[in-house]
Amino acid sequence: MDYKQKVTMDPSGFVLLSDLVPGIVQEIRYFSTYNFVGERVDGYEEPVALLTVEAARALKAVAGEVNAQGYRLKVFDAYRPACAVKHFMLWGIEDLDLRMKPYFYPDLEKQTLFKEGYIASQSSHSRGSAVDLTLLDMRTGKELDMGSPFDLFSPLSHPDSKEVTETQFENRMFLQNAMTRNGFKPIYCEWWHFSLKDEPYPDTYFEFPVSTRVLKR
Amino acid sequence: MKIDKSLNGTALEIALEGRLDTTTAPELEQALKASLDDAETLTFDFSQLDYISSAGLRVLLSANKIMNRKGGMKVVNANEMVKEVFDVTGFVDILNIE
Repeated sequence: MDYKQKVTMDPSGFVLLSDLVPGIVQEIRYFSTYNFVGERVDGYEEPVALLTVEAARALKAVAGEVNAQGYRLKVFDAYRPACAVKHFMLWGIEDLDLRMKPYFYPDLEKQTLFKEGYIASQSSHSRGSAVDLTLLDMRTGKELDMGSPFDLFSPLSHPDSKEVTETQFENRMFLQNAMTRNGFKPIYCEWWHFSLKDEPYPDTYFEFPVSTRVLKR
Repeated sequence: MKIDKSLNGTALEIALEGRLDTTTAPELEQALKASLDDAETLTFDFSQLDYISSAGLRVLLSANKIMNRKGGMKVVNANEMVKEVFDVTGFVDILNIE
């Protein structure tokens, strides 16, 4: 692992997700202070989702499928700058900062978040082809019940958790199947996380901020 | 956290096991206070260290300052997570990490 060498600023392969998928609902949590850190995360200048063109196109196909069944995609995070991940690491070594513990890691000690793999110095999100999302039911305007909220660091968030109800598990699988049918792969520990299987930049970590202005240059 | 000290002549080796965090950093500070006078060099063995917090980094920094005036200090066998912390905090440029 070499944090410094594989980072690049070039956003030319990226798009604003809402340009390609106008029906997307966005709640960019790391722009907000309602996240596990408890403050706006470095690198988030606007509450928007950016993705590589390839990942955005694949997500457009997913959106089309679920829309036809009465659902919308709701995105919590997409491209995440390398400096944001560094912010997570620096937060991780402040063991007295437990502001958001009751909401995001109630059953885990903060000192174990690295070891358990919830925080790492590099994230697939920084390669631009990973997305955190859920489904919104258009009839109710509410998120589907997935059995645990976004970013709850807990075994309950593992997609195959046996602790969730049958309906919650079915909801997770509904999302997962729509995503995997369109080229995404899931991760074992977070039901909301998916990354493009054939990602265009498998070895590159990007550093430009989350903002529309960088795409307009 | 377990602190295992051994002084070989003037070469002090300290092996840490567990978590070096806000709770345990003062213990290490005390252990260093008691031993650094007799040491010319200091080696931290972090092979059994699971976690380091900013409080732990502060103790390393002050030990490094003292040992820089003597024969030096180094950190060996840090695991991937601890190395990553040294990396993002810039400690990789301050400490002698092997």
